[in-house]
Amino acid sequence: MGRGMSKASRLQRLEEILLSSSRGHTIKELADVLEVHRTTVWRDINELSLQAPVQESENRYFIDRKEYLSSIRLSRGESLMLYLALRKMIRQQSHLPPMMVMAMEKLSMALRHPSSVQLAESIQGMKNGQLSTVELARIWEVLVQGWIERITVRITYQEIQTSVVEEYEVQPYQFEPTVQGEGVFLIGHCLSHEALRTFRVDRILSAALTTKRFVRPKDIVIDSMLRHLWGIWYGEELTRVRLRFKDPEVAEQVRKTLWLPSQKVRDLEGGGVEWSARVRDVFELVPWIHGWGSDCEVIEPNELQERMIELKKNHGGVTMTVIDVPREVTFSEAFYQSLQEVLDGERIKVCLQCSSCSGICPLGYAMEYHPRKMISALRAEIFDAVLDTDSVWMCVSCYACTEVCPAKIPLTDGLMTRTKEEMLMAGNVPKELQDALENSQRYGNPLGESPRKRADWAKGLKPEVTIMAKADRPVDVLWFVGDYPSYHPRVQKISKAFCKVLAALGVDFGILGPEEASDGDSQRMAGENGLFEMLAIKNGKAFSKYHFNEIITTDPHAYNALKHKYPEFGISYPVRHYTEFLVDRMEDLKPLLKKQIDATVTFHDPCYLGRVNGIYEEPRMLLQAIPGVELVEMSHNRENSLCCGGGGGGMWLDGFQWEKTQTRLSEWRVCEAVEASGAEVDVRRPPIKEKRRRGLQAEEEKLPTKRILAGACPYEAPRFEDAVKMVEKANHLEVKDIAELLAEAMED
Amino acid sequence: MDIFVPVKLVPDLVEELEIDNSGTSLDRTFLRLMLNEFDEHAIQEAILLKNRIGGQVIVIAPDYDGVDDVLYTAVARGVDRVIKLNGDFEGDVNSHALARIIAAKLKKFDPDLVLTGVQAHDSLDGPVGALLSAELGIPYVGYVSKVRMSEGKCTVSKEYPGGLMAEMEVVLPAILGIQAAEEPPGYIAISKIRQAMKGATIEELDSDELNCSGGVTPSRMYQPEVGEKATMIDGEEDAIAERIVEVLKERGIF
Amino acid sequence: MENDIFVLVEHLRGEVSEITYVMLAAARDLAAETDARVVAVLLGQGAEKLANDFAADVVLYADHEALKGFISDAYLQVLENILQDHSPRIAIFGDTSIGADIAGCLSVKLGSPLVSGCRSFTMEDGKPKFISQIYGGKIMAKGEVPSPTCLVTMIPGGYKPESGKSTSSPEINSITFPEPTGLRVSLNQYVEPEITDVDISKEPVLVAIGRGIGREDNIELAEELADALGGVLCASRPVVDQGWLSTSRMVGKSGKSVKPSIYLAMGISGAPEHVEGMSDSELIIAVNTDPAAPIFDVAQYGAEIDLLDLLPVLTEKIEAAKGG
Repeated sequence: MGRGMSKASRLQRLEEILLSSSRGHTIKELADVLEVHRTTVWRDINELSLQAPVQESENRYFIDRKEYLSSIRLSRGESLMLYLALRKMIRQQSHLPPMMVMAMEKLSMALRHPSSVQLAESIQGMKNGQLSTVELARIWEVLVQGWIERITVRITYQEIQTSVVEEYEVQPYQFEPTVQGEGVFLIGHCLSHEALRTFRVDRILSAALTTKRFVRPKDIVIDSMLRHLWGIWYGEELTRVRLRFKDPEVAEQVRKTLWLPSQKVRDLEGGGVEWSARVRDVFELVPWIHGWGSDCEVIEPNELQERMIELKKNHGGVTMTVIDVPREVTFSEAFYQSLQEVLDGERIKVCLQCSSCSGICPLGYAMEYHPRKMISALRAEIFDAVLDTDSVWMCVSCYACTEVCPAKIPLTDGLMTRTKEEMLMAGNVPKELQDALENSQRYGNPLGESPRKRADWAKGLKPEVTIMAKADRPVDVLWFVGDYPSYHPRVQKISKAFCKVLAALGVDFGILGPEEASDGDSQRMAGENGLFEMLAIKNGKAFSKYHFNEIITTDPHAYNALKHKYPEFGISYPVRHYTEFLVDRMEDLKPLLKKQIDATVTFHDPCYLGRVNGIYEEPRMLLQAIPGVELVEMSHNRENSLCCGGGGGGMWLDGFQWEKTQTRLSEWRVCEAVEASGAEVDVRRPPIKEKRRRGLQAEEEKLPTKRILAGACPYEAPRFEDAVKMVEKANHLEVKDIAELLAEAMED
Repeated sequence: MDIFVPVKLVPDLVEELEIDNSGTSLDRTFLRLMLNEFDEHAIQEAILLKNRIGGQVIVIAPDYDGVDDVLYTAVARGVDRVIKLNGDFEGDVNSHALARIIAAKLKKFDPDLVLTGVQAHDSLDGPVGALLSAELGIPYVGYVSKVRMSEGKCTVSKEYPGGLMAEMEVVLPAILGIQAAEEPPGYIAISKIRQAMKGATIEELDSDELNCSGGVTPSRMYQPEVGEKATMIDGEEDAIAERIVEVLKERGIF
Repeated sequence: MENDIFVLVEHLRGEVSEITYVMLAAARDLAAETDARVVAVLLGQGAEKLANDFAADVVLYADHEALKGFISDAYLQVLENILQDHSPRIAIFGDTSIGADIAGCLSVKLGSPLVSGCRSFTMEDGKPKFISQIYGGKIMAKGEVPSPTCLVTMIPGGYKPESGKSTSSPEINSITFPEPTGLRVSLNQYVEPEITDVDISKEPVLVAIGRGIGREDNIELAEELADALGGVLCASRPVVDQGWLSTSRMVGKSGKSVKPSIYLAMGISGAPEHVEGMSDSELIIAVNTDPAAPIFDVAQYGAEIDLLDLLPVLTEKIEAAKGG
């Protein structure tokens, strides 16, 4: 409590205190308890009263429990559960009732997690682009009021089978989300039908309160109704459905999962299972069955069997009959096959559809087809639909999904990259990315700069930087510089700093200069395998001309390519990332770091250094070797580090991704960095005018120590510095590469 | 319907352009050549047309250094035939010369429709398209950004400054100078170009000797002298903003 | 006469385009040194009045229905005739959607050489020389204008259009010519550009943004500056291509030509295609992080700073100056 407590958690605590005693508290008492100034409490109460019915009597403040319906106290774990449940619902909704978003925001605040608040805000932003939710909000309010206060409501409803709009009077008893799909259902007694009926809320076109009140009968057995319901279409009789799952692995999954309370699962010879249940309307099962692809066979009833056959025919897939009819391979099947040819690719067959991948994907919520759904579409043989959308371009190849997949499917390298490749082949590429790829083809770098100028950044440096073609002698270390470190003004500074460090250590190094081409790894992850090969071979030729003992690089993407992919073309050299290289020389390095840098430093684990290649400690060791540095960790670090958004083509998809989500991953990360360094972060988007008075603000705040976000990848410095400009309270955050900090700590 | 697209390669402006020792032409040592941007659009528009009405797209290019890659890329885009004109194109080959050798070949094909880029930045004697039209005796409309075919003629959108367009009708056979294709050329993956290299053949035709008359030889080429440069304002944003406000005040904006 | 300098007048829908006056100014300039006549060639229907302010010695006017709009076929037939009859020393056309469509054809038909991209002329050793711009403006080429007749297409920038205007009307000769026949090109209709709220070419204060604006959400900052100044936002091609502003806001060769009192170029590099459209602005202030950006060659004042840092501060100070 007290200092260091973020405003969000303070408001939460304030609410609790105001709820706890009906006598209320004075401002002074609250200020003492919360350990803040009175004016802060005053402002907090004003803000809180927007969300909760704060009342005042004789200068004492309290919240009336009876007025305030949702005064549930949740532990953080409980809040997390609700939050997850809401997230799942939000993903499935095409319309977001404002209540859902508000609840999401409140839960996120309770969790005190900047990235989840950003998520909520982003969803709010997305929602703004959707169909008008004003009417929807109104309808929800009416229904909820009718439900709580037991008032009959009058609704106009769009029937599904007749497309006719009818008016009904309904006594709302209960709300229930569907098991499958994106519905929420209102269950109640319909006066027109004089029976219990269900209505899908998103087909309710209008709702109004009547003057009639009702009493809910105690012996309504809604549960039993639900048992037989599967989503809701109208049906009177219960029909038995029998499905056969032959594959033992699939059968295992079916056996273990409860899809419907009334289901029965029976083992078959050969390892499969037969699943049966009685449902109100069988057609609601269609999407679920379809998702299983050819793993699921319908045995009963006939209508369902016919429908599935019809669907398969339209998508050109296997028929549901037992006999295998010879036919052409569909695109989806061919693609599925090709995925399995990647290393460990067959693991895609055991995907549980658990959605861990989609959940951890930083931009999964903005994809129409997030990873889990992509696999589901693949199995349903409707993968063409995935390629018709452009959601795969939201993927920044950060490897979070691969890291977290319990079935160990190579999602990033396999599924996402191959899908991007298909998009590329079809020419379906956002313009920025197209330019970067064409530039890489033509000039050997994505920035479109002249290859002859690749070593211009090193001109005039003392001691002189050795360029291999001119030097004509062997060197100890070949430094593979990379595209952005060679051409981008901000990253060139890092290159120069690294030269200083190498020189101070007396390292005999050289660079390829104009003979160096892009490492090609990001282009590869963006789907351009042919381009990658071309660039690799070009670099390989340059390497083979010279003598050196090892290659080091300041670029984790180049590191990844040189270490793991270039050997496939016969280009194999010992490779290290510069942090590994320097830690090896720590004995020589440490004494050189004489200047104190008083700063709270947090390290951002680059995806391709950390998650992909397992290098976590070396960068931290280097930072801790600098006197004065206090190293703190962000809430996402090491394996679950949050991507800066630059990989997999992300560096060239900024405009595209911004348009879809109104947010940037680099901004989320900067929020985390600010919070990690102890400052309060306000993640709501500030009005533009306030944003940019950088120099002035830092002075005004008179911070005790510097705050630095340190990186070890060339994409980061420009991305994070841009993000710092956009996040309020991040103005004082400095962004530096480790090499720059080391150089700074050395005496001139 | 056969659509012919004569194209040329021009120096890539990403590299520094240098004048050679004679002072009358470009130093070609480090010159990198690329497909003329407008010709690229012409190829694209031709392919879009072909996709709508059927037929073939035939690209013709003189044998510049690196032209093979350009032609294979064209095949990867959907061009049906690619033809290379043999000859010596090392030195300065002007538009008049190009128009003559292309016309000589096109006359044999008797084309219905020819699309070509509306201009090229290396030309000192006008665009090839207009010259070609006189050589072949068929009408020319330039600055075209949309082409629709109908029986025996085509309807085109001709661009004028400020966004104004004129819808014109041209009787075939005709030549159109393309300013921009209706859809920009999409991305062609390297693997597609590789595939094209394996599958396609570049036809070769011998061209006549170059006749450059009609063009001009410059007596001198140089980089433009910079006129008076701007007065630079120093300082941080506050100082700069204040000075700008002063300047604006002097101009009476307030 | 062999010494004459001919200028083909360009006009669209009753308005003479600015390039015509630039060409007349060029012709006047040359004519002064060679003692030649400046002859404006005007083709149209009922269009004589357009020639009233030409700084020409004489106007040859051909009137015909087929010449009402610009039809390359018709213009070619009539011009071929005129040029064959008169054999001028130089015939100047605009390097435009009109001039470039026909100059080349005439070059082949008449057997006269053609020089394109010409920015200006000069006399050296008693001979006229052309100075043309190629490679996107990176290289200038100078050479003799071949005799006896040479066709030239001109680009703007070398002469002020005012120098091509005259307060006294030139002599107008209606000429006879064989009727254009067998026309294979016809004009269906004109299509206006999308209607917008503002015509930037009429605005006295323009704030222009280029690639340096970075992202769409930064445009708000520039809008605030424009509001504070009482001006209007416009852009260079890259911004419009992204779809962040409509094409009617584009300044440059393929967009609009503007001549405001104040032109603030923010994050614009100054490529020739853009400069062509705004170089006549009275006061140009340019902001760019690259000190070598060509925009600084055309601006009167410049600052090497990130426009995103400058914009809010500048807006504030202007608001203060206006209020105070």
